[in-house]
Amino acid sequence: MAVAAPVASWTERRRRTSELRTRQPFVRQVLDFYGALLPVQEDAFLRAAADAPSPDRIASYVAEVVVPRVLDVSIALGPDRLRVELISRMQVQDPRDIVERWIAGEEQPVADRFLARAALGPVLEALGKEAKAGCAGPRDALHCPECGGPPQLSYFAKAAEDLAAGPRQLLCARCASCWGYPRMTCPSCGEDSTGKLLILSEEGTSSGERGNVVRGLPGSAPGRAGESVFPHMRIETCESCRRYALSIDLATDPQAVPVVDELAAVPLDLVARERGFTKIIPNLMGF
Amino acid sequence: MKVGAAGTGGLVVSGLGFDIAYADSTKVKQNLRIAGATESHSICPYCAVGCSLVAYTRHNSDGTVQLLQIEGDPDSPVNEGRLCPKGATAMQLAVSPRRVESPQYRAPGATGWKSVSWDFMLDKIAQNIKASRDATFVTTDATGNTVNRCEGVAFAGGAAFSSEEGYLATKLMRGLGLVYLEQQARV
Repeated sequence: MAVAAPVASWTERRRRTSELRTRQPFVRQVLDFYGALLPVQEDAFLRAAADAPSPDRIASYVAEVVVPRVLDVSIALGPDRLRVELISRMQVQDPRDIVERWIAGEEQPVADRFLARAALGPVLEALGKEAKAGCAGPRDALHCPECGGPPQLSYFAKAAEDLAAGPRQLLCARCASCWGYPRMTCPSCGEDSTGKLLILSEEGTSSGERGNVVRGLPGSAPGRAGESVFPHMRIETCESCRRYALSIDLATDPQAVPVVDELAAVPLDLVARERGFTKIIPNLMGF
Repeated sequence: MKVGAAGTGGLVVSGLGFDIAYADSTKVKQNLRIAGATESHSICPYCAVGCSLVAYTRHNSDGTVQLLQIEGDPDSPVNEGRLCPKGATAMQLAVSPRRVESPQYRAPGATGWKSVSWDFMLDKIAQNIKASRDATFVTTDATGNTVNRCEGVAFAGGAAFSSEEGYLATKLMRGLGLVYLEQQARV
């Protein structure tokens, strides 16, 4: 079975988690827990790539092999509410059902969804298209072409040239696959009237405000970009569906790892929520 | 997929109990200076390739619109996010602290430019056009056909001309009898 994502990506996630833990102490509680979860997820990724469970056995494989380890680390190091919820859920719910409901795209209690996502995610990442094809969900532009999951976040890839803007990519909340998506279109409802797509970001962080017209190049203006907390991030909102997604610009910060940066941007989630927007889907940590 | 934000919209915390992160992030959020902006499609004015642009603008509370950034549109099949060095500076066509804000005139024999008024410059241009036109106007060609053309003046339009500016310039120059008209955007 071919490995669908490079193992290095786990190294990158660990590196970025460690960086942001220092740089953004306000989310240390989230990143400490995520950092403890990452080795479990990486191990699940490697084991799944080696074991190559058949697509019809994924839920039982995840429930048997990965869920116990995710439970161990979550009960040992997770926040109190998560620990209590998981212990209580395990007394009444079969882990396999929890994973199957996430695969089927059904509504779940937040603790169940955390457990299913944390355990199934790395397994789907390790397996090929055949495994992801068994997941429920539409295969349209608004959903992951591989597993049908909703987009967790949006990011601008680093372009190969300085004078080029990178294309927009969406990252799947379920299997972490990426797909290209038009830049000025809502990833939740497809609205493309740009007047309805307000972008919220910290003042002073756009290229023009930094004194350079080229995205990603340092500017000369004494703007506030140096003081900003999230110079490479923005909140992409939609007036039509009142949803939002966070977007990460890899040209502005090539060291960013979208899946980690999105978890660490809780203040931006609070800004969006305060203005009445709801995230397309909460992230692994429930924000 | 039915899974979405339902069931979480009204929560003030993550639902998993990250209360410390929530409280600390709330303090950070209060100090963030957040501004709203929108993106718009546009097209580079400079040449006939017609590269697609994304213009990033902010609507300020005083009603003014501030242009923040212009860059290549990565979704365009024409340029796929790329711009040439001239197009990449398209923002400076609209906003540039180095813009020359008055006409510059260098008199015959002078060694430098000096700033002059628009009244002076428009009069000077009109006088020069009239002098050249009067001196070089051709009423009939070699075979006796009436042509009424001015061969001593040529006109070159700038690349950033709008369609309306181009139309106006062409009408004016044809009216003067000019036959040598060119436009950089035609290149």
